[in-house]
Amino acid sequence: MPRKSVKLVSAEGFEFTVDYKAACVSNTIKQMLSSEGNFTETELGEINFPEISAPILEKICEYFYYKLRYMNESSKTIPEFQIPPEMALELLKASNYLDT
Amino acid sequence: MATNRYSSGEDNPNKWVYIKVKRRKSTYFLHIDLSETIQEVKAKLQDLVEKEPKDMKLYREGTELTDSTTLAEAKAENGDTIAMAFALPGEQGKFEEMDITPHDAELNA
Repeated sequence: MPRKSVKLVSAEGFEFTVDYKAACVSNTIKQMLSSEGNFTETELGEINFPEISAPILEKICEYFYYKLRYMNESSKTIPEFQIPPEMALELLKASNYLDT
Repeated sequence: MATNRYSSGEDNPNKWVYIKVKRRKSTYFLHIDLSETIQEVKAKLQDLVEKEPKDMKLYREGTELTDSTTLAEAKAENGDTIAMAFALPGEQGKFEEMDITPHDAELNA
């Protein structure tokens, strides 16, 4: 049952609504949303990330759209995805968890 | 329809251009085409926020965006942030103040 959008909630309760297709850039989210059974995640299209802070989660959502936009392009034309150095570690941890 | 001039996806119409619409602690990532009008953007937001387009105001850099302008005309670009305000219930024609909760303060979580 594919839905149109998914709400991702950060540790502090900030909400990020993204396209379903964008959220599925993350294999972890994709599996959460498509798994069998009555997980609340699957029903509401809402996923809580108590260990991910809002700035990191926002950056991750930006990455989803970056990926979708450029994944079929030749390497020359793709701008680098900018990551502030102070975010790098947290972002790495989160992306590892999200399998992105 | 020959209005594709403004879309950045001239060779690939499915490019994932997006804007971030923010209000308080919520951010809505919207997959858009820069040739869309503000009216069309509000229509897309309608389902997400459960408000009528007439009860929404959108701002870019502090300036209210009128329904008939396109995103390209408003100089919006991929990844831009647009602020959203709702009409105050019961008060005809009055809107809440623009209010986006910053999350910098909580960067050290």
